[in-house]
Amino acid sequence: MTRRTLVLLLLALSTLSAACAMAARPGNEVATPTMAIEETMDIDDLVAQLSGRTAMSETVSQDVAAAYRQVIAGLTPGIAAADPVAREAPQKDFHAICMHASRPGAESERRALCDVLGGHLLEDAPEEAHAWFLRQVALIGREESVATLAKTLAGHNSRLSELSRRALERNPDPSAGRVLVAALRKSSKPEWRVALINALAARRDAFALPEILKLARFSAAAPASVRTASIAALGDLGGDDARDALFELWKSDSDPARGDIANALLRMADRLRDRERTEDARTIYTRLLAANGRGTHGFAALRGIADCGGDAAVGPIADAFDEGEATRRRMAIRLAGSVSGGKMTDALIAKLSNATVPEQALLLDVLAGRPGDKVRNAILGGLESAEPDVRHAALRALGQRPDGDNALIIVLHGAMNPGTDRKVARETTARMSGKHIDGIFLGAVAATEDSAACVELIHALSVRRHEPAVATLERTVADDRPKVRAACFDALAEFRRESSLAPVIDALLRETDGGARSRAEACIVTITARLEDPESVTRDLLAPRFESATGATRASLLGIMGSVKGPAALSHVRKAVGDDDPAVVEGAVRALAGWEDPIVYPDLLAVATSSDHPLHKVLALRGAVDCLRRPSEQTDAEKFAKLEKLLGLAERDEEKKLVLGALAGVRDVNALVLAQGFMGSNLENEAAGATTAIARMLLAEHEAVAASALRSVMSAAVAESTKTDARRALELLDQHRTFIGTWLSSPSYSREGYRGGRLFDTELAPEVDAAAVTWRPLSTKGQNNPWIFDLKQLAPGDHQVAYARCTIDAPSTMEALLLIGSDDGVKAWLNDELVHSNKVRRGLTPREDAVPVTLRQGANRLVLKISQVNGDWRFCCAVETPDKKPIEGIRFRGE
Amino acid sequence: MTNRTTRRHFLKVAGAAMAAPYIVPGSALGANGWLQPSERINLGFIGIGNMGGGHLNGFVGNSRVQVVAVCDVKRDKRDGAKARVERQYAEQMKQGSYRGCDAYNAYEDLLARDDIDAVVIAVPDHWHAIIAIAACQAGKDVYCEKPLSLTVREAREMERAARRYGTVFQTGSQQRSSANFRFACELVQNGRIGELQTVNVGIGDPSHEKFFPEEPVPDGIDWDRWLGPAPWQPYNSERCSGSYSGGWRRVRDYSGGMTTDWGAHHFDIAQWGMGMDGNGPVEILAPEVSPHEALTYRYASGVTMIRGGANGVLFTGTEGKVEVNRGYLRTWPESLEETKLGPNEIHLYESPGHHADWLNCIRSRKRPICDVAIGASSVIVCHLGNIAYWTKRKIQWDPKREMIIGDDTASRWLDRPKRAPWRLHRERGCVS
Repeated sequence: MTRRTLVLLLLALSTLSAACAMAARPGNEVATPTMAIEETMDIDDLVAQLSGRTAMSETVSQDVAAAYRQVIAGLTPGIAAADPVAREAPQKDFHAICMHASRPGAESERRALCDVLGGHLLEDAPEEAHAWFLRQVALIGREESVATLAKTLAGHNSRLSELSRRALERNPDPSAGRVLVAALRKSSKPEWRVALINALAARRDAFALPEILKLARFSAAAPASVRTASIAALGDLGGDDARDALFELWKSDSDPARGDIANALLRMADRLRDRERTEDARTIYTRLLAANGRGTHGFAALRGIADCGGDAAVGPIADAFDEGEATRRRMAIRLAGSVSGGKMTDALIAKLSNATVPEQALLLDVLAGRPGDKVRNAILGGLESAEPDVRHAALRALGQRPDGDNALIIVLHGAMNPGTDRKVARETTARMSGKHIDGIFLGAVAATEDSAACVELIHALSVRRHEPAVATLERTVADDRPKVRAACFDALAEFRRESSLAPVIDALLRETDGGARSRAEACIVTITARLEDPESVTRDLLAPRFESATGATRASLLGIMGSVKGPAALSHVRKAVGDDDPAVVEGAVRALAGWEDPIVYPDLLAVATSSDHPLHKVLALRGAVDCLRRPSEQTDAEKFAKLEKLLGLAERDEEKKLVLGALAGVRDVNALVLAQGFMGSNLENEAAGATTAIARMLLAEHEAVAASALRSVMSAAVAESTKTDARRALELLDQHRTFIGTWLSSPSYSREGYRGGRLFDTELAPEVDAAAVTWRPLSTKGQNNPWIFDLKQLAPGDHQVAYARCTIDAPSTMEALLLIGSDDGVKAWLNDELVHSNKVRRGLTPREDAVPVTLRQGANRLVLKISQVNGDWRFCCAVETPDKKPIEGIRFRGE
Repeated sequence: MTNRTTRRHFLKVAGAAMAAPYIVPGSALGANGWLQPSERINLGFIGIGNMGGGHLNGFVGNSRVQVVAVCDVKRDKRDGAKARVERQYAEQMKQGSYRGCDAYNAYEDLLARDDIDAVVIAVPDHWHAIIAIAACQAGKDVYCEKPLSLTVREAREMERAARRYGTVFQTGSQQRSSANFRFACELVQNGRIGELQTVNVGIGDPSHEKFFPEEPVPDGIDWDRWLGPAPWQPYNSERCSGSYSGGWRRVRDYSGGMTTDWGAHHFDIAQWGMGMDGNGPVEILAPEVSPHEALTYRYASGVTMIRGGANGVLFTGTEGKVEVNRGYLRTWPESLEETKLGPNEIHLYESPGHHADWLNCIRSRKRPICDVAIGASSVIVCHLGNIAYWTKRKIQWDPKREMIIGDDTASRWLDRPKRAPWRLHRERGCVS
């Protein structure tokens, strides 16, 4: 027997004896608890069996009622515990038992449990237990529970009465409804009557109608709350009597509950309509509409009539087009869309002539899906409107009529109307369904002489992904109209066929129009990017044509090579840097500047250092700076040295600003000093920005230098936003003075089949032989908070662990707190002693785990193990006095 | 109440403008790029917690709307929101003060105002249905936070009310307005991953009974109204906290937990991808009875949906996979990411943004991207998952008739009794 069972059973003695006494009452058919169960089972076992967690033993299954009695007696003291938190386990256990007993196919168990529960509900059990039992009966009780619930409903404890009411509301047996009706007759308290009426309305017991009808009738003495609840209940109960009663009440214009009556009637009518009693529903809607044509309820009635079908709704809806405020008129137009038939269509078309602009747009949208030439003509009329919104609506409406003529009209409209009309026309043709439309477009490309129309057709073919158009487009790149050629290049870029490369490159070599040439270049780059071997394009297509090309075209080819990249392209570009033609050199330098790889840094530096051509020099310098801004294997010190050199080469402020901007990403004290050197110059704003950014990165490692630099920014005459950044960085420093800012980390560890939790429990290399592990500095680069370390820099992915270590230099032996935040679990060793272990899945909350430790004077080795289940993987740690104050003289080292 | 110029009010006074002098501020007349007041949509906010506050910040800077009222049962929240709105409008008008946003404790008072066109409802889940239905009855358009409802029946009643009164009703499952999610669902619906086999959905745990000690009710909280239709419980700060790590979202009386809170996002996307809006699963298996040892849904199409195993939502088909979450999209094969749909394929509703879409639809009276019916069918999937969790068994569901088959106890979770005087259909102004 477990300790918990023993305690519960001791506490349960009085309840158990009461249960036995109850079971022994005459007329109670429940058997008394058998000694067999009492002697052989403890409560935990019973809970496990009765909730289905373990198989039911033969002993229990032979007398399940006795088992329920025993488990209830055992759990009751806990269920009724004074401390709500202590109730949780026994209440959940009992709830699980109830859920299991009520499973389909186990009616005898459910019945037995409800019978036992019924007995307990009639006892003088603690209120909390009563309440919990009632909540369970509400879920599983049926006819056997009604009599008991009737008694608790009528009791003097309002909490238990309310729980009984809820249980009766959910009980499927009709007798539950009769109990509620009887209680309603007896009750005089308005709040309680409302509760009972609401319960009856939810049950929808027809026999409740007479009692509720009485309460729904207006009486000056009757509380409004009871009456409105009754009216609402009539709407739920339904039926002819309820309907007639509601209409009778409706006659009084001054009735304060008129809105409730209308709502009730509408709900009643909607339900009739849903049950396909359309005529009954329509009668209610029609009467309501007649009585309240313009209000919210009148409109709801109109909607109901429309939903019932037929032409009856046409007149009232058409009338509503012109009535009330704008929203109401728009609602009427939208509603008209749900009514089919020629009459409604005619009414909608007629409305177009006197509608506002938003209404016209709405009407065209509603008309779009309706059949007939009249509708099409109305839509075409919309294209002539002076109002863009109306034209756009007409275009979209026409797009919903998938017909070749309509498609061509949309394309031509777009060709003739640049701007938003063209944009809408393009969107519309892109989605217009119908495969035959593509053939019509393709035929029209060859036939049309209008350049703008041809461009729109080509665009439509590309966005509609009409693959058979490619051959035509490859021929059309030789068209004598530059805009058409440019459109072909764009379209072929969309289709991305390798076979298009040769004709496009040849077209590029012939191209005389600057705009078309740049589109051809973009097309070649786009198609090449998709190839498995992009270098083949340089080798087989670009290089053979390079020597015979003219200067401007060579520059184009170099630009393409700059995008394609690869050794062959780089070789060509490097060679071209020494060309005699400045245009070719410019193309080569531009290609290098956009290379996006530090490999070209020496080439760019050479041009920036030695070129006599100002433009080439500037392009090279900018490209070189760009190389250093990109992520690479270079250390911050190496980047700093290169940027310092480039700064010396920069002649204009524009380039100096660029270098300062790049310097802002270098986490190096020298970079900070260099940036600060420009404070007070005409580049002060850029210098301050760089200073702030670098200082923020150095806050944890070089607190004093960084803080001094930030204070200098705050006192300078620079942009307010920069000062704000500096101030926030200093505030961050203030909040984290006690945090460890430098750590070394192990590699990450994962094992096949091991999840994060198992790795947490597994002794890995740093726990076995830390000296054999390669420890590297952890970076907080890119982190908003330099005291929070992201371990994903070690390895992405889930289910792994890593270790971090640092040295704490304490000024004396002292008690201290480690305040650790981790995502997910964390273990901590101080001087090789495990001081903390928290196996948990959580997000990072700084200072979440407070770990009391003793620091010895001098160096203390702290090691953390942080597990990763999924999502983020981060940690941070502060060291403070036991009352969470900073420790004077403490130092942290990443060693 | 100086300087209030609301849309409906403007319309009313326009006719009287010749008879009496009427002074309105420049910005209210459409200066500074703002719409004329007659074109602006007057908004009321009901619930100013985490989500409501976020919506308020978004809408108060939106020139298409005018925030004219806020409501919360916590005094500091509503007063703070009122001050926030008035400060922002004063700044926009470039004048020292502005008084045009009223604060209410009772939502009925806000809904009773004729000059309010639409409301944003961001209260705890147990209040959603009552307030949203009352708003529909009052002729307001509705933006209601997800999950749409606390129960299955509430969801359907909300849909019925919105249809009845012609309400433009946006459910706050805003992932539908994100291009990433739409694209993923278009890939699935157009068969780009082959025949769909399974959907994995990464969401948290369901809500449970919670056991909190009683604390004194702080000044400034209308505790009885916070509880509203939920069973009466003594005050506890955690019980009504909006904190995601605990709070009311974990308590069964007020919420379905993360099953509904995140399910209303990720199950919603799963439903969208499957093309199951307005429909649902036929079997729901609790982890205890599922071969996957996780909450499992089976659809009539043969598709299985499993809780877990995804970063967001993972659709697996016979020829590929697509996984999508906020700011994340991955496809197998990778080339699927470059898919461009043709005109004869399924193009899903393209929303300009969840707020913007709602405002557009208020004008056009179209149904928004996450119309109440969509919100309802998605939240019903969530609720069914919870019912399986709570009963620890397999649930058989008829998605057309919306009935649980052959399980009386499970069926009782389809709705919950409400504490009087609250009921789903209450006419505004009839406060008991």
